Amino acid sequence: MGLQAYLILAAVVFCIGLFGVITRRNTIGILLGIELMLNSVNINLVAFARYSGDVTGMVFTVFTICITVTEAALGLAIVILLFRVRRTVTADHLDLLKG
Amino acid sequence: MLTALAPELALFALAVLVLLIGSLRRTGRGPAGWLTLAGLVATFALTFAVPEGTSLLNGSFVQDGLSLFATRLFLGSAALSVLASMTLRQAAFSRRSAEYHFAVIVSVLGMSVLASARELILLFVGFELMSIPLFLLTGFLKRDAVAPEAALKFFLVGTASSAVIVYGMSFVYGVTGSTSLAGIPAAMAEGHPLMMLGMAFLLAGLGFKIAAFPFHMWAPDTYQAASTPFVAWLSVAPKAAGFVAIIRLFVEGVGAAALIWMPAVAVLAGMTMVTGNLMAIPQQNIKRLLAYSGIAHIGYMLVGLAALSSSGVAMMLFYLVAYTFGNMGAFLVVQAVAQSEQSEGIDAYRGLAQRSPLLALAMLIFLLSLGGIPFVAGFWAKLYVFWAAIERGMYGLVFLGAIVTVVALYYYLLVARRMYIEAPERPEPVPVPGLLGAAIAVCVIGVVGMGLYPAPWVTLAMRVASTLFS
Amino acid sequence: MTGEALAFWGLAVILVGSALAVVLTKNLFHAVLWLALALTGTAGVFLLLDAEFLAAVQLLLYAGGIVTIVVFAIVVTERLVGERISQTSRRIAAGAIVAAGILAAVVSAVMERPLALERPPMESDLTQIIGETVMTRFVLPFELLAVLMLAGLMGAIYFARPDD
Repeated sequence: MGLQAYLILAAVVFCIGLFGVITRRNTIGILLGIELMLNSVNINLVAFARYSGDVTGMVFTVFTICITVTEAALGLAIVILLFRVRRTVTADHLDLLKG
Repeated sequence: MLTALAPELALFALAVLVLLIGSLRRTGRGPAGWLTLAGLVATFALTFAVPEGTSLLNGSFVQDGLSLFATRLFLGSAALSVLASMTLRQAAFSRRSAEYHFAVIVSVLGMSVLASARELILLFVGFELMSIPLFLLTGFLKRDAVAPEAALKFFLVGTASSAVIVYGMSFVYGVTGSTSLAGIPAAMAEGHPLMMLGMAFLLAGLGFKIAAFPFHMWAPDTYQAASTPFVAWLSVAPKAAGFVAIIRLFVEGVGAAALIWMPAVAVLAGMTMVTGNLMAIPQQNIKRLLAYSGIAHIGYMLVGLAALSSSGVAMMLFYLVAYTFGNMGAFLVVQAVAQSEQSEGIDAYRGLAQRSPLLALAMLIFLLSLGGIPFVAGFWAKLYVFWAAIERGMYGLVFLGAIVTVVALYYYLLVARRMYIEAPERPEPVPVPGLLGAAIAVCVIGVVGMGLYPAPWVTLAMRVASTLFS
Repeated sequence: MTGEALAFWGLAVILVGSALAVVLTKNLFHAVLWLALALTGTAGVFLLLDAEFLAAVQLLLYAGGIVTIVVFAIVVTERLVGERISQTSRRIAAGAIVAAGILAAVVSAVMERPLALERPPMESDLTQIIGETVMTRFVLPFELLAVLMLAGLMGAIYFARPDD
């Protein structure tokens, strides 16, 4: 298998995640799409690292994984807070701010 | 050797100190605000002790003219915002003062790291270090009806754009074979399709961060819901950080190969100017109006960037400083009026000139500067970026910019008309807390000073920009 | 077909299939479980790329951590609202066009010039090399990562805390 196969696999997953981000109504669903996008970035990085024999891409992956997990924790805390205040997780209902 | 890191170390120590003090004290506002303010000012002074041109870790972290310029902008604007936020009355700001100020300091730390990063991993970590506290600060009034919504929208846009940015970074890493930004110019000149793709992703992701068209929709919602002194800072510092990242990635050392991006940036600039200014016209909420006008100003700065010349970048930096003073000042006046009138509508400004002449005059100066009237900072800023664009022969873009500037004057003057021509609904003056007044005064001095005597700022901006093109 | 190719295609089918399920299924809870499968599949891809350490990190932090947090969030919000949360989609055409356009751009850029087919030899103990690199060349971002996680944690606690 060449590098191309891995890059295209990552691109497919990235675009599926992007599709989820654009189409999902539920904010948790949007978050899951973002997770897929970030996940495909890691495939890209590791594949580039392996096929160039350079460890930096793998180090980069360690950083992206840690940052992603932090973001997920913070994002879900905001979702829970919003739920307490407004009783909704649907993006369409978030319309107090308009104009 | 660690002198290069001195401002960052100072900010880190300050963050820890503020957190510790906050955990010791349980009642009242406590000293966190003053400590933060003193720390930010001290760090600002400290940046002048850092020798220019030092670097760490094989050049992945540099303190050059651009990074010091940007770091001072971040620190100065943060100090103004902290000064003004000490007058906020909501209980959360006194009870959770330590958390609030910790988040501000960490965000400034992220910005200053970002400004110095010449390596992708450090750049990404700096970006996230800047952004994550901003989500907290946006939703800080968590019992408010709109703050959590604004925080969530900002968060979703912020993380999605981070994903796009880091996806672009992965391609840049793959093509250049290293995470150092030093490899970008050669790869850009060679023009590998994956490199172009990666840079396009980076441009789109950074477009979200600076709220350029078509990635701008999050800005008005976020600005409207968050506390105004914080928004004053949010509307300038992270944008400046985004521009610094764009300069590091697309401009520094790239030379003629960067010109391939000129049409894309020019289109982005034109669309952003037009959208921001047209959307601002119907706004009845002053914070939303300033948010859309802020989007338009991002467009003007992109004009300077699109010139991709030393003078273009220099004039963009000059514009950033002028915009910082003018925009922060306007938001701080909004804070004073909103706190007294309990309204962010533009009708709250009726007859402000009769009620509080000084406050109205300050607002007028800020609006004129944002509008680009002669003898205040914004005039020179617009003139200079347009001049840089003309030097590159971008007459169409400059013509478009001139037209929308007239449009912008219309809605700025709508606010001015309410202040100076319409009669007040109530006679009593608008109370301005002393600290807020001090912050507004600093912005007035900045705007008028830059307007009457722009030469030193121009010289500084030219010197910073020239190092990027050598 | 070699063993590696077989494993790659197997993982690719799992990964793409579960990713599609994440963005298409109506049941939010199922979506999270599909995400767990996609993240586990990614760990498998890392194994194929000789990155055992990252595969382990992926399973522990990503598949373990994120899925736990999301399930927790769903359970909490469902308890608050007292009903099952389902989710629907909107703007499907726009989403499909944007996603397909970007996919076409990436694929054409990837195919335009031939890329490496062979893997250069790497140090046998990648885990040790990654550790050494993090603590030397990337010690500054590593330290900042600690500050970042502290800030994220504080933000999460601030928002999720029910009192005040």
